[in-house]
Amino acid sequence: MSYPHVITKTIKEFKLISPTTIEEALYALNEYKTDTRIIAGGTDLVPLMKHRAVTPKYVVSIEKLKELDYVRLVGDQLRIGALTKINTIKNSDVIMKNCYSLYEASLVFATPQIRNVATIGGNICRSSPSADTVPSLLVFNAQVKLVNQKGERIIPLEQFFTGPGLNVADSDLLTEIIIPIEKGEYGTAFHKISRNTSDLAKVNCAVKVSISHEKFSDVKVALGAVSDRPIRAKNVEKLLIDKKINAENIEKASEMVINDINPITDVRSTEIYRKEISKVLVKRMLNLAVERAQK
Amino acid sequence: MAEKFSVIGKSIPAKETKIKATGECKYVDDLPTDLHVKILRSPYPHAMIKNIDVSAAEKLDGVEAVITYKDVPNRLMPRGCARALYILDPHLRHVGDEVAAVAAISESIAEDALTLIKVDYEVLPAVFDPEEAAKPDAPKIYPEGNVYGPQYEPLHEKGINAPTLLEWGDINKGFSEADVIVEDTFEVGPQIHAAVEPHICITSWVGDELTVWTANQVPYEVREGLAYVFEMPESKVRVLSPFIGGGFGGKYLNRYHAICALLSKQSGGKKTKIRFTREEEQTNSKRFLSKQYIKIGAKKDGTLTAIYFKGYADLGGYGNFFGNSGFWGEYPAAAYKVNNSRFEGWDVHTNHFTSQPMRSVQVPATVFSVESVIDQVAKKLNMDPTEFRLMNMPQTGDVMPPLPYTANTVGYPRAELEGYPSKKLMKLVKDELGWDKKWKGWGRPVEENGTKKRGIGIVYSGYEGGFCHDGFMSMAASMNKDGSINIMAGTQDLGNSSNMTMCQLAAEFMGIPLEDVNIFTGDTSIGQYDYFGARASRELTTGGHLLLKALEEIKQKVRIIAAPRLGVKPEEVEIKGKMAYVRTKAETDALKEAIPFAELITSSITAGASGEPGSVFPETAPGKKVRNSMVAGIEVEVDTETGEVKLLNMVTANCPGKAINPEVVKGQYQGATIMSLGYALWEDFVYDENKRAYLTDSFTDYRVPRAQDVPPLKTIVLEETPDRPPHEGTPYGAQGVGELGCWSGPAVVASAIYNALGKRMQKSPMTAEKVLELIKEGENK
Repeated sequence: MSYPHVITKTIKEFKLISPTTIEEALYALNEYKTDTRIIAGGTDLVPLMKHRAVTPKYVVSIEKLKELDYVRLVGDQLRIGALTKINTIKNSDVIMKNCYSLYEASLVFATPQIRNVATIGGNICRSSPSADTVPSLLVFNAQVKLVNQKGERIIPLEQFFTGPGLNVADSDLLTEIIIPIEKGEYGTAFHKISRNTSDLAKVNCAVKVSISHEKFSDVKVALGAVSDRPIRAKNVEKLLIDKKINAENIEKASEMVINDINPITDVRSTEIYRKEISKVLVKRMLNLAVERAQK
Repeated sequence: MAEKFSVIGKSIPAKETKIKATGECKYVDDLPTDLHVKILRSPYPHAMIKNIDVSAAEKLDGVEAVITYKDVPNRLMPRGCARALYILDPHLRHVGDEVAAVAAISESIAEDALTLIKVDYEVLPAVFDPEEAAKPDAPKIYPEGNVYGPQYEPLHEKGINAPTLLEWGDINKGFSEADVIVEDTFEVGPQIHAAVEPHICITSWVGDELTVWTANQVPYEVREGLAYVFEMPESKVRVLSPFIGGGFGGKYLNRYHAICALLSKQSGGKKTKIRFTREEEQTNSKRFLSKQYIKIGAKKDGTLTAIYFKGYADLGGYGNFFGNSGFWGEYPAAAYKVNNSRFEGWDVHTNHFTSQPMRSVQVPATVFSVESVIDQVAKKLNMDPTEFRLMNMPQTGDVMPPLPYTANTVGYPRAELEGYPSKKLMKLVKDELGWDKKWKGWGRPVEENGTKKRGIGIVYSGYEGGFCHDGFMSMAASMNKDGSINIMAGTQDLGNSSNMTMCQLAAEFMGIPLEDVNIFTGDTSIGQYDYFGARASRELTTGGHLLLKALEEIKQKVRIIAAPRLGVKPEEVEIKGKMAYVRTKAETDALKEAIPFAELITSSITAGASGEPGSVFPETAPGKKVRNSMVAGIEVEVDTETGEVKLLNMVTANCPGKAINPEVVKGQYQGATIMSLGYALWEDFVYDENKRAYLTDSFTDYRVPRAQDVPPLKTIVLEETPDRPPHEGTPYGAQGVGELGCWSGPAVVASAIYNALGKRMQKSPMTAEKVLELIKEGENK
């Protein structure tokens, strides 16, 4: 991106479509295809449109699809509607109880004003490498439900992202996030390092550990803002599974995160710094998750 | 003074507070307009326009006027910038420089029109580092060279590269007498003013008269500049600046005023509005990026013997205000008792956008560098840093050495300090911060907890705020038959309640209720010329001083009228509470015979005041000098694994002379202190040379402090008022308060980080990346 020759702040004219049913929404998405953008909270889309970074001819507002705004526990699954606001997540006891790291992410997600408007579906579909809700969802092996006129499919969230701002959704509407909840002892933790309060992440990290007989029975580590998409740190995970829980093992495994990430230097931080603190963050989150699992 | 005050010293909210809170207040952007302006900006940091074709833009429906450098008057707009400017120029000196401008019936159409303008650029080599730009072989941003020579001797016009030099005593002798010498280099990045309200103006022509509505700190400067460039008498230009959503030194006369006025003229005089986007605002003006070299010498007993200072400041492509940072060099002389000193202040144009003052000129950079070296000298002498400062700081009653006065430095003759209780301030901060208990020695943390280390630091600053150029401002007051007062002010309220403060002064001085005072400001048709406007906190010091002088003259006129009726001499007449009575009698008796104004006067009594032409030293009694003093202390916690610096607790102690409106004073100190913490830690300014882009052109990526970033902040206000009549010198001994709060941030944070880590930061802002790099460096400093 070079300096914009023309600094625009006015939105190009577009047609607003406000479906009241999912079917109507899918019809519009199928009809207008690439000329279309979906708007939920609009906290990401509107600034992009003002800068004319995107210039859709049609904007499909899913605001009226209230049936997509829910958090519920169904059997051993936690299901979150795509239109659920970040603030709802922050205030949900079910999420705090079952998915603590996602709750922690909601606490530091932008500002109260944005949390009142932004949705979890929007945070996923924006597909920013630094999305704050995503690492927690990844460590829970979350899946997303994509619906289009031909039908629906459920895919692992990890397979949803294809690059910065890019994902597999085509004429699809992301309707639901499905989080499997296990029965055994597990602990989670999330932390974001940023320049100051309410900022986007330099690096964010979520960890989920399951413990049995003083060993790691399962470990999931995910990071944001260190690659072209949110990623799992599988090198770290592999080193820890079935290993004894101790400081040495955690320290050694945390160092391995370097093989999972590929950070860049940008306005928020540097490649070197991101590499350094990724190690620190993974270590700290592992320790915190273990501590929580053991409680 | 044990005098009891009835109006001053009270925290009275500004009259417009309520309408600002409810949104009823009309800022410039709330006013109607016919046309909207958008500006085509340079994609290159340094380029020449070879060809420009606007024909397609002109043909677009809804476009009313398009201008390029070919359309502008062949007159250089004086003032506002270091260099006189054409309204538009084919020579582009920074990314974002103005190439062309369009006025259309909507912002959207104006933006569309910009995309139709075709430009061929000849790209020129660019330079961004002021020290590099000062070298003779650097790309030339001006044919005569990039160094902006001393204003009092504008050598740059002759192509001579020279710094602003200030020297007194004998620097070599000073260093030869020293037992300990420390030298070091420092860098600070720019800081963006980041006012909530972006730059804005509306212009319209009726006949040959131009009216400008703008949010501006210096309306008379806008009038003067526009009148000159359009070759018209100043009487035909009226500039109104009703309310300002923050200025901080960023809102002066600028090209955009003239661009707007020219487009308005070309479209038949229609009301034409420019309002900067946030992105334009964040890439329009900044505090200087600068480098400082400091060398300080002291004797074994702790006496300072010499301070040497050399600094390079980037003016950007144009450089606003006087175009220099020359004032910065004065700081050590003002802050410490030292007889030998030399300053070299190099002010250099670069291909960054323009630098302007921001709550003072380059003082925060100077305080950061000098205080850091003062710390190092104290360490070498094995002295507690606070004790070392106490030993060398001047205080009230001390006589400062004379400084050369020049057109660009606020020099002063040999003078005794007034209202400068520096040592008391130091003791207050030490106590409040618990220094004596917490200080564990040089580079030793107060406390260590795993990867976290805590450190404390205290720094001091003393400089000029509240400049008293009374020869460059006029104030008028009118007393009505009912004893109420109208103030016609040359100054401008830039959102800091200076209007309320001024009304409080008048009410106190005349002994009347506050409701009986009205102030009129922000409109050049009021006719009280003010050369410098609302900057350097001179609204209260200079404006207040002149106001009381005018009111004293009104009192005198009433005394003369009343004296024969009271049967005494005029000097025996007291004026208070809308009455005249005999001062020499006991008040109860005197009041019985008092004559109400209504019986004395049959029309308004008006008086105006201004200093002698060019006068700059009215602030106090002859041979005395007012200066601002401040001490700041902080405790920080450094995470040694991430480099993050958490601010735990901060204390500042400040002397305002007399606090006319205490909450306003406190608000100024606190706001400025928080700004300086942002400057110290988060407000990184990023220009990407490859992308030719300022990456910090939004609040997303230019990180001003949020409420949660601010540590518990105790602001101590210590009044110290001189014993003299209120209308002689600064009013009631009040000092300017807008600047000093922002001087200490980088210095005090760096000092506390040093004491936590045993390593010193030499670059500000001290981002976590830089702190972690320092931690990993391994070498002790």
